[in-house]
This record gives sequence, C-alpha cells and structure tokens, in this order.
Amino acid sequence: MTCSYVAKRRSGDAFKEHSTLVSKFLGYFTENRGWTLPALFSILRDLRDLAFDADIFAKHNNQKSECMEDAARTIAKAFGHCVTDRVSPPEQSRKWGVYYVVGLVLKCYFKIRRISLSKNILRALEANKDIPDLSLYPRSHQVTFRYYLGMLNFLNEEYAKAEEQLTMAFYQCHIEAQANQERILTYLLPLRLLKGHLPSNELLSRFPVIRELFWPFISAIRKGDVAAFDRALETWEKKLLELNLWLTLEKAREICLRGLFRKIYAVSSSSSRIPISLFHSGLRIAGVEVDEEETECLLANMIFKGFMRGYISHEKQMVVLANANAFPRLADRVQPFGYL
Amino acid sequence: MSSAASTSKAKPEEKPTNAEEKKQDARPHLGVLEEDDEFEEFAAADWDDSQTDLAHLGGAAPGAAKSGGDKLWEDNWDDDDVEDEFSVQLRNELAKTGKGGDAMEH
Repeated sequence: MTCSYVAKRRSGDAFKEHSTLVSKFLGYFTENRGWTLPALFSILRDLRDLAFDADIFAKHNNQKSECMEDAARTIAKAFGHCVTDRVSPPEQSRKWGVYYVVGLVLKCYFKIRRISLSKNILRALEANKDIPDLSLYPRSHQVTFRYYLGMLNFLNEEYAKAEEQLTMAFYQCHIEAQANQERILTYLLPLRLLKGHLPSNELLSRFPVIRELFWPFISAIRKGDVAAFDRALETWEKKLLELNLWLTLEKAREICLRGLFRKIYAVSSSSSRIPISLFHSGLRIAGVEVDEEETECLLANMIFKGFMRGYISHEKQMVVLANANAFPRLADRVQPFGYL
Repeated sequence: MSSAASTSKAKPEEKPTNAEEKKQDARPHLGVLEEDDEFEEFAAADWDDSQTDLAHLGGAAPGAAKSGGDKLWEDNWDDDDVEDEFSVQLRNELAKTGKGGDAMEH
C-alpha cells in the first residue's frame, strides 16, 4: 500500500499507511527480543523519510502538515518499547536499539525546530540506569547520538559539554562519512577556537567547505588582526546566523583581541609597564575605533578573564604586567569556557 | 614563527597569506554549509578505529593539539615577530609621541 501511494506521489497517504504498519509492528516488537531491531530501524527510518516527503509535499501545496511531529511521537513510542525490555537476556535485549532510536527522534525534533522536546527523551535515557554504556553500541549509533547531544549542548551554550561530545563524535566518525564529519566540525571548530586551539592546515585541507567559512577568522586570530575579524563577522553574518554560529564567533573575537594586545606587548619589548595610551594607539592603528576609557575597560576584561596577567593602575593610566608569562598560552587556561 | 628570517629583511616581505586575505574579501559563496543539511545515515553500522581519526593519534587524547600529539590542531601560534606592518607602524607612533619608555630601545 505504502509503495503504491509513493508511486502515485501521494506522500501524505503513504505516510499514514506506513504509520499503521509501524504501529502494528510495534505490537509485534514488544513480544520479541533484540533480533527484531534491524527491522525496527529500517521501518522507523522509512517513517521519518516519508514524513519528510509528506511535509514538503504539503508545504508545496500550501497545506498544513504535521507528519514529522507524528513521526517523532511514533518513534518516541518505539524508544519506550526498547527501554522497557525487562525480560530478554542482556545480549539479546531490545535495549540495544535505544541510542539509534533516540538519534532518529532527535533528528525529527531538529527538523521541526522543536528542540526543547528533546529534554523529555534525554531525561528518560538518564532515568534508565540499566541501559548498556554508550561506548558498547555500534559506532554509527554513538556518533549520531553524540552529534545531537553536542548540538543541544551547543545551542544551550553549555560549551564545555558540547566540545566534549562533538570531539568524541568527530574522532569516532567514519572518515569516509565526509558530510557528517563536516557537520560536526562546523560546530566543533568554533568551540576549539574559544579554547585556544586552531585547526591545522592538514585538517582544513581535508574539509574545503569548512575552510572557506572559517579561514578569515582563523587567519585574523593568527595575526591578531581584530579589524579583519570584524570584517569577517560582517561578511559572513547571514550565514553564521543561519547556522547559529554568530554568537560563538563573536565570542571568539576576544581570542583575536588577546593576540593584538600580545603584539603591542611584544612591540614594547615585553615591558612590564605599558601605558594604557599605548594600547589605545595600537587599537587605533589596527583599525579598531575605541576611546581611551573603553581601552581600559577592554584591558580590565582581558586581565579578569585570565588572558593577561597583571593589573591596571587607574591613576597612573598604566598596565602593570607580570614579569613572567604575562600572556599565558590560551590552551593553558583552566576554564576556557568559564567567562564567556 | 620565523622572526629571525623576517627581521633580516628591510621591509616585511609579502607573506603567502596575502592570497588568503583577498579570499576573505570575496563574497561568501552561499550554499556551502546549509542550515537544513541533516546528519546523514551511516552506510555501515559499525567500524573500528582504523577507519576513524583516532587512527592517527597513536594513543594521544583526541583534540590534544600538536603539542599533545594530535596533528589536527595547533595550540600555540604566538610569535614575537615585531616586523610586520602593524608592529612597525606602532613603533613609529611610539617614536613620534615619545610614549612607552623602554619600548624606544627596540
């Protein structure tokens, strides 16, 4: 039936028909052990794909369609049936389907931009302590789950967690899954910048698409060229907003500013006493228009956040820097995401 | 980086990065990364380390940067090159205003 509807391009009906099939299968699924999982994965994947088509088709014809919402509900139900397997022996448990199914649910939520719904399913995952450890699941399940979890952390501005998940996702991803690695890097790379790690040329040459978007920022950070960084933010503004990256890169501007201040320090022969006016001149020459008070404020921030070690003598209008290690290595900061 | 090499020249030389600078001024080619791109189904269900970026690490922690044995990231790009255009300009400014004390000695 589903196939005939697909053939007739009635994607809404195809979706409905397939939903019926899935719910019948779920009845059967709960009576059986983990060997039925490949079949479950396959029909749930189809369900999501059909929902995708049906929604596009409906949108095209100016109709309202919530197939993806329906699909997400059904797939979440399947998740429940996986988690609640209390009878099968451990190695044959339906619990081995948990992470794949959660990955699919999250994919649906991201599609319909209802990511706040993810909380429920993640809470359910946490509540069930008897689920095998994620690292024991097939790599494809691990990577997909970690990608979405990392994305959720990223969007919630929980950068340390996001970096951890996306790093694991990237390194465990199959190297031939180029598009997926690209997708992970899109969000991992800005986090690494904040941490004080730049991608090597080798990494960038493997991912030209990533290179194109991020190169202006990376090059500006390398040179401490804040004006170039600001131009890059402006040039890529639309794209960055679309990808939810603008805020993160705007924060990375501080890394660039630190580079500029460090240069000013180098030009003044690494003197431990540098007048604020010198930093002010430096900013002006670098094409950053701020007044002297603002310069002092920027410096105070840099010191507060651990980018520079020293203090400001306000009455003398002087920055007094530590004799050794006045600009600690970025990567050495204990909490690189602490004061964003 | 090569501060010795660049200080030996009277003028800061044209660096290869200039080509990239031009690139950054070019209009972004929209359509490279799209917000609607989805994370794709993997062709295989499982694979081992040799087919991932864990393979090149040789036991180093993922993302540790070059100093920690991960060639994909660099965690130190600070250089003391004070001969680039910006530094020269800043030094001239210093000379003009006489500010900056011992900076003049350089």
